[in-house]
Amino acid sequence: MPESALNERHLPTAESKALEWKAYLAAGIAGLFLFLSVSGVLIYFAPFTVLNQFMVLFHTGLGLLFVLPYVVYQLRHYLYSRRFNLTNVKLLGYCSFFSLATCVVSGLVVTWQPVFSTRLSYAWDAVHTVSGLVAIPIVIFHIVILVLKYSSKASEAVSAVLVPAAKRFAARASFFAVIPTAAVLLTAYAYVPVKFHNEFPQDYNLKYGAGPFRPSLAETSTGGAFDPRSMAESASCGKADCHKAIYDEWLPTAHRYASMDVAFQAVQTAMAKSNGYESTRYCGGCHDPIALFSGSKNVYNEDLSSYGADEGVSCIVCHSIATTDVKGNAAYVIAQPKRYIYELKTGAVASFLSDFLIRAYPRHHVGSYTRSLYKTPEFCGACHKQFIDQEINKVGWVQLQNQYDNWKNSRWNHPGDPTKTITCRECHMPLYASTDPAAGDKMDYNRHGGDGAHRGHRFVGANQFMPAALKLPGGEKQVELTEQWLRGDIQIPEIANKWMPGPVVPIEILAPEQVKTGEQITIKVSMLNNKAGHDFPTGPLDVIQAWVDLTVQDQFGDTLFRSGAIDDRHFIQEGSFILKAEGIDQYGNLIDRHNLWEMVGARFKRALFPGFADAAEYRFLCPAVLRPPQDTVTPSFDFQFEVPRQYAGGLQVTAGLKYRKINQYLINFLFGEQSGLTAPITEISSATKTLWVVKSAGDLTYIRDTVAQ
Amino acid sequence: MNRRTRLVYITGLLSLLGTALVIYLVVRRNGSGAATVETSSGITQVLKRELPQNLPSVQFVDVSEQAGIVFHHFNATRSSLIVEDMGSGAAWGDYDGDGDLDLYVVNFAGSISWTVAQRAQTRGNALFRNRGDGTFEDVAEQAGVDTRVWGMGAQWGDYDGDGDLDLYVTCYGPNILFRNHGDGTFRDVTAKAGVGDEGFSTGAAWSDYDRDGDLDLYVANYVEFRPGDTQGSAQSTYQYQMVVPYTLNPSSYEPAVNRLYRNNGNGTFAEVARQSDVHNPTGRSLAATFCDFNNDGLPDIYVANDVSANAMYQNVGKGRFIDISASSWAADYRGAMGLAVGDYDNDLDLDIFLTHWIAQENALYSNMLVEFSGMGSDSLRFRDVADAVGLGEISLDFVGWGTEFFDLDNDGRLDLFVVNGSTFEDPADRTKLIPQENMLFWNRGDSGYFNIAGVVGASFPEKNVGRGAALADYDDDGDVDIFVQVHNGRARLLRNDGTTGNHWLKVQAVGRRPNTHAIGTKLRIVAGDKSQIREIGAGNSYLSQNSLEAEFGLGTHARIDLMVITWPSGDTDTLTDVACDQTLRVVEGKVPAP
Repeated sequence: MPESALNERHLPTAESKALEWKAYLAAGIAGLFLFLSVSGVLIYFAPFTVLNQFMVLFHTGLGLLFVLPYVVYQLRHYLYSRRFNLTNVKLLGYCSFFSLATCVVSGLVVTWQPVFSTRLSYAWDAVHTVSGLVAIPIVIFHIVILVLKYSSKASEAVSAVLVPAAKRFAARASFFAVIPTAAVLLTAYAYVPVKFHNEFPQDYNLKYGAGPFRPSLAETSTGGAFDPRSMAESASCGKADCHKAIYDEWLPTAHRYASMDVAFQAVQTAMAKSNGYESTRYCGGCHDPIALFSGSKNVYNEDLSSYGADEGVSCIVCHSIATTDVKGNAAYVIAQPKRYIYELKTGAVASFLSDFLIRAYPRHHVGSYTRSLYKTPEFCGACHKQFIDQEINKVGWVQLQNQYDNWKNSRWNHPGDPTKTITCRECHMPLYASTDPAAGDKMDYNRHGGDGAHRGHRFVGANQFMPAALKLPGGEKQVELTEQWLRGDIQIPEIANKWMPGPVVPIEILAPEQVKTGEQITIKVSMLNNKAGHDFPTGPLDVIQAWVDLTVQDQFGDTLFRSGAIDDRHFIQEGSFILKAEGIDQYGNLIDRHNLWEMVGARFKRALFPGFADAAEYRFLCPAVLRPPQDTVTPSFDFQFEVPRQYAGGLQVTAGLKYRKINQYLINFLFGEQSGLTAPITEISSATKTLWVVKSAGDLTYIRDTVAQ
Repeated sequence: MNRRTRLVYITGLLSLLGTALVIYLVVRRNGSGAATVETSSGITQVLKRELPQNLPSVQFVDVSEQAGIVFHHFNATRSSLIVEDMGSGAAWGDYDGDGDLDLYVVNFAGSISWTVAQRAQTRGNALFRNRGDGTFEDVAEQAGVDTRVWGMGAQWGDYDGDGDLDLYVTCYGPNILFRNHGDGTFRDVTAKAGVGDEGFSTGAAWSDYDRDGDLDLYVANYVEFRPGDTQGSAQSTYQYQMVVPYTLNPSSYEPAVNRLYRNNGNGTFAEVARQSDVHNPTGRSLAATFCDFNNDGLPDIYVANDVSANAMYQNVGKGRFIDISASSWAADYRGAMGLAVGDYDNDLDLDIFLTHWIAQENALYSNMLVEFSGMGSDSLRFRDVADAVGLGEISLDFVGWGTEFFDLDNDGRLDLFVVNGSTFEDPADRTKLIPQENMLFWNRGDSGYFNIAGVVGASFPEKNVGRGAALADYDDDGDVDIFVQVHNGRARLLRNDGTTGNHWLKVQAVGRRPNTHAIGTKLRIVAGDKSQIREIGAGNSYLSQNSLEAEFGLGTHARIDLMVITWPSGDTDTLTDVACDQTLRVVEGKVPAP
């Protein structure tokens, strides 16, 4: 700025100044500015309270009210003052204008966004915050310096005009500021929140000692009950303009149907009857947390359930866990999140206001439901690690499924190096392109805040039965995805550089290239846990079955050997190779009804640790002669017939690794054989091999070569 | 520049600076939530134990070389076959009757792809004779026990009742029984004795299970491994990174049946496992022990099985056993490797500690005999209390092998040693296995066990691919020392240099012929208000044998009020007011010993 410009002498008259001070418009917008400043500072710095939320609403409303008068005043004030010399006061005036104008524009944006879109832009929010915080001192200095000038340097006559004008201005401005302040206070005072009924039923007993949820290790932050409404109502998270995509993903998942799963319900009922109703608290921490924390797992509650319990592991259940312990068995502490005003009230206005607040004032929402803990395997491990203890089985500690420690000690875990490590969520919650408000994440090494993707909440795993059986929304698609997942057909681009390609569990037939007629043939089917981050199979291995279906056929398609066939009652052929566990009770009886509360050990367990191979072995006799086709009239000599060369003299071995979620015995026990129910079977991988048969008497000429002659 | 101009510049500058400052503060505050996953809060570990203050002032010093125990196991290149990765063990025993403990160390003599000629070039098993001055000399060759076998374990026992310790060696391949001539030499009598099982044998145990006076032998067999099972597999090549081929997975092989050799009393044995119902056809067995768990005077059998359920066989007399695995609640189905037997809680029944594979807690099966006595049931029951006493969760990241209860600081409570060593191949060099640190658990009574491995000497926490472990007070100074057998590595003799000042007593029991070394003898001592029990020969670590002496720690008690010795014959001898800090030799029926 040229110095000559600074020194031009255009001085305003005292009268004209006084007129500026006296204008109601000036006092009105100053009062509003004062309120907006104080409320803005409180919104930014003060904790999440009912009062502060009303501050947000009034700040927004009065902010909108501020815009037009401010524009008018600013224009008028500019036209009035532009002819005056540039002084520090005038410069502050320009600064006030720039910061306030920015604040107004960004204020409009951060109002528009929560109303008309799904989320606030953090950048615009920051602009609004910065411009507001800058404007406050500048406007104050702009005014205060002016008043000080009047008091100290101006002539008495001028002071006599201006000081009272300024005082009147101050009084009027204060008045305009006090009115909305009082309105906020009164509204906040008058607001009646929806209260949660955080009480156990009167007859709730502490059968397992002081911890009200024992034998589950789950605890509430208060040590008391949680109103089921405070943990359920996931649909409110999945409203059309909120986390709908994530909600829709979650709807058919195992987390969602953890409680409503008919198999779980049947087993829980059986457990309640044979082991006591309270003992089902053991299951509740992971399968039925809403019912557990409401105190519904109690002796006089026949269905052991509560309002909202069918949401299983609901949005809020997972997203309200404050700490987890690596011990497993639901060793977590859950805190009841504080809700926004109007969030639990009904009606369009309430819904609008709470949605607006969640979006416009998201700090509490994000802080309540987003924790770095949720990204860790230890978080998942709280429920994906299970043991039975004395309280349940009257016997003592028996280890059950443990995906967490499997993973922790597997080749997928490289502590401290996320570029090599693959954690639970990287496989089971891959990134989906998204416009969800939760899209973007700057905490992941390979992501950023604006990557337009969210962590999928489908948790695709290995249950290709229940989503469709329960007829859940999206269940068919979930089953389809699960089958693809089991086969290894789903690629995950963001971890392609550190994961394995191909099938999850590839199999291979290991057999001699040539076999002699009449001799015993030994073949192996080897299988490898190529991709799973935990044992394959994993979960309740007394329930799950993965088995090898092996067929050996001669060149005419006649079966010479079979293992792993399913009979017409849906049972697997006796003697088949099955990856599973056979638990036993203390009398040596098989744990075949998922009656884990009676389990003391296991007589058999077989599963593949990550990166481990296993092999099933088969022995059978090679046919002494290779028969001609049945419809071919041939002499007794075995290879004087035309057969396609590629099959000539060969035994075709076909192997498939099959998988089903629930064995038929348990299905029949739970639902009755007459129900006709059976779990769907997925072929995870397959292999074929031809064994060339050579003559036995020391002549190693291939039969196919003989045929060719 | 006049004053007004200066003020304008200053105001402008301050406004800019103020704006910049606000931007900085807002950006910093908004961005503060970006914690990394590594620094995530909210993860707890309630079972983790911080070391208490009053730790025992015990140090273990690696004295292998100065003591002359120079032994390198395997000394070949691994070929990723399970047989090559499981060995080997060692056994303490006073074979020459000179009063001090000698050490037999088993070698897995080379790759199984080696020819006989190649194996002849490698080192055989070693017999380290204790010179009595804290040093040893390898006399295996002179003694005739330097056999070059794919050796697994060893057990001393006087099977022929001639007063000296004979030696049974388990192998992948035919096992060997060496008869001690009593002159420092041995002879292979396997063929005559009929105990040369040709399978994949692991742990073994001597005891007079049929109470006919002589020692019988139980031999654990692992899996039906066949060397031809190496036929090509695309998966077992390394196209998939860090794959463990099925040839290293015990599940891939059928379990092998165990053997019970009943001593005929004439130098021969009869194999009676199947008829006694202790052949354990579903178990991939690695360790076995005879021990009278239910205090009925008859040695029962407990078998630690890898990737299959453990077995508990109750001896019901007349040479018969019943399978009580399930009803004893000790049918542990995790991958069990080694076992230790001892009364960890001094409630006068013998408990079992089991080491397990990775991602599986080790188990401490507390014997509930006392707790359930008088409740109308005489059934034997065990309860896994490992997590409660600090032995469970801590072991999840380790593969445990040899183990033994012993009183490291002679305070009267049984501490515990655990050898670790992975079965995973080192990704950087697939011919090597990943080493792990061993653990030393100090028993603090009611507050359970604390791993003090990090504070008992600089060399103690050294990582090793540990396998066998055998414990004994080889230097006769009243505290128990540790020998660790390291797969494809240097064996370690860790001398206990205890300076606790606690009193101790060692008992060498001499039984009537033919069980001259009194295996199966039970001792109960009372010092002040505390009682302790031991059973000679119970607990066989992994492929190994601890000394056949009973070592007691007595704390501040300088004398023992009462000692009751219950011999396998059922006879008892009682001593009163026994002086401590000595090795007491007690002879059956002639107590106190001359």
